[in-house]
Amino acid sequence: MNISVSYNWLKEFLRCKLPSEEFARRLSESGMGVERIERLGESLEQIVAATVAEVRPHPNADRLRIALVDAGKEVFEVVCGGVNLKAGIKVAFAKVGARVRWHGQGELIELKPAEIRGAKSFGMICAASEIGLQNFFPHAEREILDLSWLNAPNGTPLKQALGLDDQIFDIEVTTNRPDALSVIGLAREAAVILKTPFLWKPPSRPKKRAVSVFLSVSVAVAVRPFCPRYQAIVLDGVKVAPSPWWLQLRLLSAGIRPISNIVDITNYVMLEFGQPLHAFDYDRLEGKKIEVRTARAGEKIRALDGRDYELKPEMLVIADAKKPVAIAGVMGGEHSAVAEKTTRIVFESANFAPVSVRRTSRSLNLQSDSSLRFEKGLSTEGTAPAFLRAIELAEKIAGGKAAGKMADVRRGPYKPLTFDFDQVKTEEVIGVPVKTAEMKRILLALGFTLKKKGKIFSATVPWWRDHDIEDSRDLTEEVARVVGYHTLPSVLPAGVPPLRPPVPQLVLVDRLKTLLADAGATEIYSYSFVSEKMLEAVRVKGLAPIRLANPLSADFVAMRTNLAASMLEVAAQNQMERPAAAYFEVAKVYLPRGKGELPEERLDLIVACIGESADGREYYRVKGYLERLTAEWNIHLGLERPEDGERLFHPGRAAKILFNGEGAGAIGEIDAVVSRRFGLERRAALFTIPVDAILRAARPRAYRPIPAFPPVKRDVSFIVGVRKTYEEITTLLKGVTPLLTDYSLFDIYQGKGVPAGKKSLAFHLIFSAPDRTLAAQEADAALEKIIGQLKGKLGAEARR
Amino acid sequence: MNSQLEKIKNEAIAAIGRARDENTLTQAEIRALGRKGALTEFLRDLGRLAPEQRRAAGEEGNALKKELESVITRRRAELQKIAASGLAEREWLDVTAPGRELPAGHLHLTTQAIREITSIFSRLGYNCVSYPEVEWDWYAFESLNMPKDHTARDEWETFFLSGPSHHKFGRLVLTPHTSSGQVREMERGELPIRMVNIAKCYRRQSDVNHLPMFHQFEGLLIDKNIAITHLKGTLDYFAREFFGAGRRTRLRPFHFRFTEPSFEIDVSCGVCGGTGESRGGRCRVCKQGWLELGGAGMVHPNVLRAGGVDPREWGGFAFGWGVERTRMMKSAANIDDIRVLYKNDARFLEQF
Repeated sequence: MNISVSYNWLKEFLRCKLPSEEFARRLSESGMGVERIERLGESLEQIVAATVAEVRPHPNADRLRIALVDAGKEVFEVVCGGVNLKAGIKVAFAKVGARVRWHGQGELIELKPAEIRGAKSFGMICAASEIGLQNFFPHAEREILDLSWLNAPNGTPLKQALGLDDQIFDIEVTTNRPDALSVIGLAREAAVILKTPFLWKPPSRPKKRAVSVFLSVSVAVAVRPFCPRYQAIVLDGVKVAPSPWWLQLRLLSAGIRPISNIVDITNYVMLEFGQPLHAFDYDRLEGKKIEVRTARAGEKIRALDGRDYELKPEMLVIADAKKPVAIAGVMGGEHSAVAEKTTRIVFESANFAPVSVRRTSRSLNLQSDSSLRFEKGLSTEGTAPAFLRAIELAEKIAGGKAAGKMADVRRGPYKPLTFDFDQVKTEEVIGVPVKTAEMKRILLALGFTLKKKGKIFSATVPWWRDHDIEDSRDLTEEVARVVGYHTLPSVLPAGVPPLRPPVPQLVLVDRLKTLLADAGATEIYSYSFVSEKMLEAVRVKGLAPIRLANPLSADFVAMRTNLAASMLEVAAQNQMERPAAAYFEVAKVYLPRGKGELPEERLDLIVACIGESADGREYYRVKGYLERLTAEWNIHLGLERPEDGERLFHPGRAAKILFNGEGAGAIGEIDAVVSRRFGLERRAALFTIPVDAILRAARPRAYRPIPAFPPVKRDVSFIVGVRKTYEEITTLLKGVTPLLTDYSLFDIYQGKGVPAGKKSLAFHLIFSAPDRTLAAQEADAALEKIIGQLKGKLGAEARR
Repeated sequence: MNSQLEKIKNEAIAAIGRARDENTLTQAEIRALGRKGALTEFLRDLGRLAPEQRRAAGEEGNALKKELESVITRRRAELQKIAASGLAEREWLDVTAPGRELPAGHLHLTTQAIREITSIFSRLGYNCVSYPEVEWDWYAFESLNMPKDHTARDEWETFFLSGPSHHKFGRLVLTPHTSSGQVREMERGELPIRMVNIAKCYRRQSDVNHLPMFHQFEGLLIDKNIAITHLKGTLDYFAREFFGAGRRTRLRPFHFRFTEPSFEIDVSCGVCGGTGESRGGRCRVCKQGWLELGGAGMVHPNVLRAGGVDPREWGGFAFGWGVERTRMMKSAANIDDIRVLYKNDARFLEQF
């Protein structure tokens, strides 16, 4: 969570003159990261507080007037169109040379002497948005800014008059440090890091004085574990009004909108102390009673955001005698809110359990500055100082007087935490020696108390750190970070690297990807989870996918069991731009196993080829990739027609993939029905195999001597029925004679010159013998034998 | 000279002179000097001559052979020269026309980034490993010092899976970070450890800066006498190798439940050179001169214990970050919507 903090406010508790950049760097290096510095009043050069001394009509324009502006030493004549312009008001006056944003829009433009419809004008009376102050005066955006309330002599630079000579740090505070979501917490951090005194003093109890009417509120806490402490007090004689400018400015620079003095005080104290507070209208509390309890069935509340919330029985509420008046730690109710006419209030300073606040906030989908702090875990000891500070401020600026006793209901006495602090271990973790005095200084300045305990110390944790300091190791971190990681040397570890062979699957995938990309396929990465529609489109028989319990959207509802659906989606999405393409993906599919077992995460490979021709070309293209990888890993590739065609594939163009005779995957052209589901209008063929199938089937290569004698080559075509397969022919071919040492198909032809219902397969045949140069006649005899066999068994007619 | 030789010589010289290209010259050469050439046959038939003629005819024949060979060599050189002189014209090519296209695929940007990162750490002796993406709550959170109901868990907007819980390990989750591999790695029982685990991670988020699925990188080192200075050394090594020699890293205090102390790792901004200002204004890329790379820390003793490692004897550090983001930081590729990475538009994929 980020917090915006004024540098001036921090400096109230620090003796520090560092430039803001330097301060930000030091704080980031050892404490909290400063992400941005905003310089207030940066664009307010040459802009001063001034009084409109006189207003005259413009000679040539009805809507414009001429103002005489008293800027202290000088009086300027200015043409002005502001409807709220009148003599006597105090304004923000931009002199010639100032930079303003016309009508609050566009770039900053430097003011020059001008002549507007015949009248001279030397400067400008500004609206808030024209000088970048719209956030500070949100109500007065369009009109000229009326600063009559401002007690500053004419000619005072506006930056000083408004207290905008400041820098605002945007600081990221980690979840474990809600104590630092406050000015005091951050000032304490800075004091330790900068080695400068921390000037904050705890507020004192209000002086006892005679009370004319004794007012009290009874407090009962029904659920102690959810509300370890609750403090409340009634204040009488409150006059609700806008807060003074200094207080408003502090809230505005922290991004909080001022509302009224009492509400502003609760927010101010929250920013200062990190402890959320709340104020109730005393007269709106039924029975003058506060009960901290869980909500009753059917109870509702309209919160300060104006929305109605239905409360559930596990939610903690603050209730009066009849009804909930606040959602504990999250937001107050509208009914009991402090309003303009309120004169008696109840201040609440309480501690609520993080788990309870977090659950309620999540369940109602309602977050507030208060809930965000409580859910990080605040100390029960934080309520009192903030409480006292609020009372002090209410007295000072709203005229409120304590009208009764302070109620303080708590679970039990506070026991601070204590842990061992071992300097030697700390040095070991840091890696360089640190002086004991420095370690002690750091821990003491952070608020720990130290007691010698033999060679080590016993450290008592300050209350504001009682949630994040959990053991001795945390003390090490405190010392290490303040010493500064940036001061430590960089050293590579000296130990011997563990001897462990690389994971074979990872090595294989690496090679596989390179090979496929080099062969022309483009790698895709698609999401592991898929939509219901995609599950339907490619269904794996007998496999119920694992579903997400809290999906983000309908696009991602279940873990995929195959890569085909994602692949077809990608193919379809790119079909206009890339009508012919090859893609691959290597990714996991998630297959459920038995109860109490993690699912199988199987790493699969999918390769797909997309194209336009219907003649089976895509099938052969994708098969080319399959052959390329079986050749790479020396795997014997076999293909078998599936018994019952998988729904995914074209019924006549699908096969089971066998690696060294064992089933490994499937290949085929995508069925038109399936393609249509993806809007894919082109032909697609793909194969998919588990990566481990390659790993299992991969065979080492054995050396074969290079033939010593030259081979004899013969070309021959076999004319066979069109349903005869390459595999049938070659299986026969191979078995005829040992002199045939190699063969390759170079053409399949059907058409003119080949009888109807037949096709021609043309082969290069290589004949050789290991022990001699083969004579032409021997090769021819072997060829005759082959031709004879093929004729006999397949009815093949040979053409040479 | 023998009249027969005379005839052979005249015919051969004439044929050589007539030859207008290397082919005809070779034919002339074969007719005279080939296996069945006139001069070869003459020399083979010497034996038929009377012994007194044989010697002279032999000498003359061999002399002729040498003469013809040298004439042919000269003539061949001449013909080659003639042929070469017109070659540029006859066989002119448009050398600027495109070459024959070879198949060219593309590796995904994420694969390339993973390779770059793992190769750097493998030089430091780290092993690549792989652990489940669908994991028990215990490994994803609880063993990492994040008990149930701990607010720290909220930082990971986690996907849960439907299905029965494990009686000991809890619910099924999609790993929101690669840190879930830490305890799995320790449970192997092999020490010391230097591992890198790169895997898909999942979080309930999707906007221009966040993906519901992304890749994270996790490094874990467990050894004896390990200090923060070693973590610094390792990260500096990585930053220099990955981003270039001019870049610096900075460790800043941060908070993670599974490390103590914990850090955020910043790398000096490559655009403004770490100054935080470029072209007279605030640098648009970085925060005050630094870019956040990722998180790191000294492994929390509770995590070591959860992995069965004795924290009194062993210590270590862990670090990790988003692969995609790191790659973007390096290339300064201005990808304004990170979701483009996994949209698989071919026009995007083919750029890398």
